[in-house]
Amino acid sequence: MKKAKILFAKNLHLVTIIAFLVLLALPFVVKSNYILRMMTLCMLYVMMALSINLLTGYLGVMTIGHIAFMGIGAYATAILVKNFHWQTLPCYLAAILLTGVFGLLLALAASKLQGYYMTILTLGFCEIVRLVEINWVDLTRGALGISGISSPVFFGMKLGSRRSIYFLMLVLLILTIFLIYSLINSRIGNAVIAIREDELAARAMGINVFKYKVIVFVLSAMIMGLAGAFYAQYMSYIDPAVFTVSASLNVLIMTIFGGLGNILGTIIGASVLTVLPELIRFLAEYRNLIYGILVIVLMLVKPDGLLGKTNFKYIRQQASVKQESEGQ
Amino acid sequence: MERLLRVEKVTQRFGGLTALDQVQMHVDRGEIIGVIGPNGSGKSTMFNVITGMYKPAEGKILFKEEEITGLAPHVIAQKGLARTFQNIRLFEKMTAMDNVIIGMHSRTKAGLADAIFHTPRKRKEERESEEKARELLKLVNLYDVRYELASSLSYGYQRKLEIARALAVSPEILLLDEPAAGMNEQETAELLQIIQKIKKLNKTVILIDHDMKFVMNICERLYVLNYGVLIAEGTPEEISKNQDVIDAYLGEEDEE
Repeated sequence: MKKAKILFAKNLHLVTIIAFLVLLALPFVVKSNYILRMMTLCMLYVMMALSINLLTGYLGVMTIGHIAFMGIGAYATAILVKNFHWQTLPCYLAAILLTGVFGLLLALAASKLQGYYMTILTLGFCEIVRLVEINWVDLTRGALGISGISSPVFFGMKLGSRRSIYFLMLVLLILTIFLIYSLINSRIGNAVIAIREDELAARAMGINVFKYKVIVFVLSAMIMGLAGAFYAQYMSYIDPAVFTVSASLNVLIMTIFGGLGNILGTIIGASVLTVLPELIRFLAEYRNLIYGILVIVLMLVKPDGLLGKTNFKYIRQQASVKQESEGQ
Repeated sequence: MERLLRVEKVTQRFGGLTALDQVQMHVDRGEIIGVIGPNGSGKSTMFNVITGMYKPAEGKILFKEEEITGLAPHVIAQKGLARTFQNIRLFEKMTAMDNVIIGMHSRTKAGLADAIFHTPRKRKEERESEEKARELLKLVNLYDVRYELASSLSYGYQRKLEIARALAVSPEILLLDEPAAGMNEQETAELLQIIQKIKKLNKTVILIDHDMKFVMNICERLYVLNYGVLIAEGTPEEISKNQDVIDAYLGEEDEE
């Protein structure tokens, strides 16, 4: 088991490339629209979970209202597409910018708070955003939601087919993974993790805690906003009932299931918990029961989630030291 | 001799308790200074005030003749004062190596764009950081456990790692809060050597400790606090003969 882990850690880049190629080839092999749709949804959930993982797993801020940013991105896109006939790329930019601003505001408020109080803040934020979505009827059509949002259009080209939407989602997901991976494996990522581990000690080491909290809040909000922008055009219909605290918790569970602070863990966690309910659809009313039992059992067996205690970089480093000492 | 740090009439209150009362201290470049006193005498509070964790009610702290009172802790660290903690505060889920590398945060520059585009500048900086971290880990004899998680290290090792991490900040003054606490005799002897090596690196050291033998052995000058009041200062010989100190602290220990 340990050897397998080392082998895996050493070849992580290769595994990533293979996974990417498989995802790239999938739509040409699988003809079923149902499966393509499910894969697209699965990737969307992975993207959302990665956004939460950045904030909760790496910075250590437990959020139960992160989906509010998705709502903001989705509504921004829906309104810009429906009312102003914008193409998709500028919509995405607008969604990213807008959620970035809200992320900044939330970070400013959160900078005064610690631990659970910050979590309550995210809950309040989510409720406020949802209430605005419901009550600002002129802009959002309230509880009716916005329907008939047209498919994504890039440079005049309409992405109508299931396959092209799938590829669009794949591109967004790869961008997200690349961004988070680069960030975490850098000086900034080190500082962020240091803040999670011990904020006071991080300060004493010369780390500007406020600055890095803002960076992570904003980036994490932007990723969620982009996911929302995609979601609006993917579903062609949005309403406030999608962007609730319970939906946000659902994504948080995926992240915790996979293991906080591990990108691969988050990907696996979100994938399993998105695909599994589909696979056991035949169980009808027992579906949620099985889902619940699975989550509980995993938490009992692995309290840190699937890969929460795993750090592939450290496994590689430790293995290299061992090799050296054995070689001598 | 350059005056590096001046603590001028610093008073710190917690509610009705005066933890520090008009404390005066100064530290010259290259000195090893000890701050001693019974439990609750305000030693750690002193450190917290100097490093910006607390803002004093009254008084000033000057570092190289520049006032640093009330600055944020990370700014003070950047200016060149680094500390360790009495109740070990390492980044537990990170390796010894990464703990030290984080100490270098304010001495490195790579930003968001460098991270995303994996620029040569970033890679060069990372190589240099790693190289320096190796040196520091060798200095405190922790090189062999460089890739172990901080949480998996023994108590004595964790104390040494805290020192290496603080040194990574490239401080001019290193503040050690009870570095020998919980160490056995052999480890304390090793720590003594490490501090001597640090002195040779042109660093100034201020340390707090209970272990009188340890403090008397290594410090060139001592300050003695009792109930937040500075009751004595001087060389170890002077302090050991000072009647106030004997009453407040040394005498107490003898009774045990």
